[in-house]
Amino acid sequence: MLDVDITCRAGAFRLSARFEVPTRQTVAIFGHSGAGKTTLLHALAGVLRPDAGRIMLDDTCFFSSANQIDVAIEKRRIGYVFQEGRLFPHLSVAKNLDYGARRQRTLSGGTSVSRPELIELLGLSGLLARRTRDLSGGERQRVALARALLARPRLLLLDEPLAGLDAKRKGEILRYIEHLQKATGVAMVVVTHALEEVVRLSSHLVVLDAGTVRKSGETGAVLATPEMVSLFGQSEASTLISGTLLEPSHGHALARVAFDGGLLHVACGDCPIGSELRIRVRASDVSIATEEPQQTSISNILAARIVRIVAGSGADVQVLLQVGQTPLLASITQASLVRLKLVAGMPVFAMVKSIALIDSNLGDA
Amino acid sequence: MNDWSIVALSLEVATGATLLGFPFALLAAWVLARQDFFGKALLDALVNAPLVLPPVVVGYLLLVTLGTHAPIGAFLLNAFHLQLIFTTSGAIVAAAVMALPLMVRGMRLSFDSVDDRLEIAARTLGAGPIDVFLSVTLPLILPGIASGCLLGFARALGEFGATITFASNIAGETRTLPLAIYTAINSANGDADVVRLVVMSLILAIIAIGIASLFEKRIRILIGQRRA
Repeated sequence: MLDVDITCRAGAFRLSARFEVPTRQTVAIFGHSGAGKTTLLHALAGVLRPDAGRIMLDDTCFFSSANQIDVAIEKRRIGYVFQEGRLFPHLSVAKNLDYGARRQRTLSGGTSVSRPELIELLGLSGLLARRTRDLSGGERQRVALARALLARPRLLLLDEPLAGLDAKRKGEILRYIEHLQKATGVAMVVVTHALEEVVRLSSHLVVLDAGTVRKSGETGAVLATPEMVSLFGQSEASTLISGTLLEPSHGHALARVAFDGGLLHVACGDCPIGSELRIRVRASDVSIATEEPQQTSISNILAARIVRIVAGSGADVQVLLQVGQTPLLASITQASLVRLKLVAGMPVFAMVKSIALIDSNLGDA
Repeated sequence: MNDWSIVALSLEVATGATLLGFPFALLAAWVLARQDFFGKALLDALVNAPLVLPPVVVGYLLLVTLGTHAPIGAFLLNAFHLQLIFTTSGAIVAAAVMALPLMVRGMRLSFDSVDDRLEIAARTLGAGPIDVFLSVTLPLILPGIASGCLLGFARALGEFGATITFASNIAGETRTLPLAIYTAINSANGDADVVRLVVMSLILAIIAIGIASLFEKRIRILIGQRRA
């Protein structure tokens, strides 16, 4: 459990963050640039001293203004993967990896993953003898990940680990991070401004905006908050649905996925029956009908009930629907809202135009 | 007094001055580059004074602080039997003081150029402040240390004013190349000596520059600033 309640000042910027999240799985900190994400990470790592408050990881207190505790950076055992990698230019890749490992050898606890295992996981065996200046962006990030993990951290902070990488490398590093999560079980805090990374990596989400925590909690629940849509971005805002694959797709047919609220038809290559799937549905891909549409190209039509309607900043309104026990966000225009006379509590039909599979291998994790 | 022993004495003084100045220069460079405190401007001025004062003035100031009748000088003499005036040790001290500002300059610039984010990264990996200094900062400022020491060495090799004022001009003790050239110029039939000694100075300078550039290249490769 990571328990944070701090206020920090850095120049004119003021961060006032308070949240509590379990760290058994990955926590994402989402916010736009200038929201205070890096300031928060610095405070967690001990690089920046908060003006007041406390930072606790499980039973360990890292900072407490009340008890005058401020544990030094090197004693916190919080790994930090920086945006730019920050590899030591005067050391080879192998020596970069050993830097933290050598200093934490005598410590117990924390993440413990063997060096060969990590080199294998991150595909570093060909790089060990290289100088860091010759590495590509993706390679640097992998070395930085391995170096941080070899120091056996109790918590690993990742600051925009995919920033500055092209789309192909982004996907590659994302997969590496997912692998590491499963293989090492390390508690991670990932800072990002990309919802894609939040959705792929995190089980809990802290939303930062202008130096304050707007909302924190389970990723699915935070995402399904219509008030947050303007922050996430109209085209990115989504809800997550978890389900079980009932039968694989045959020929042109789509696979059927059962979730708490009904059935979805999903294009799913060769997932085995019974796979636990996570599905991302963008709010902009969900339309609302007051009567069940009969002749339509849309294959996913779900009976739903309107929970709440929230006006956005533009012409769109966000409608929070409930399908069985599962929340679903729909983004429709103000005009449609008036025309259909939608109000909270009303039974409607949600038409889901397209859905995206996030990961298909959670079942075997 | 043959020429080679003059060269040997010059090298001894310059090397001694560089070694003596090194710890002070590194400390001063670190303090000036990384610390903020009341009186920092004063320290900065003090370190740089030998650069702007006439060397003779520096020599005189050394004489009134480190001479055998001056308080510090008397203490050194009584406690350690260390006499600085008229001795090679004195020549080394004078050259070290004159070389200090140039050594500090090179090192300070390289402290400034070290990315402190690398030092923070090292701390998140479990290294304490001293460990970080030795394992990250120091290797990265090696080029600055090398160029600072080279400049200091060259300055010490050419030192004249402070040496002759403080340690005097004694053959075999304090008569380095510049002092020997000065002595030869002032003697009635020293023209041939002057030419020989000047040529030796030139050769020494060329060798020093050659060694320095070789070293610098190697160091930069070593710390990853350039490709091998």
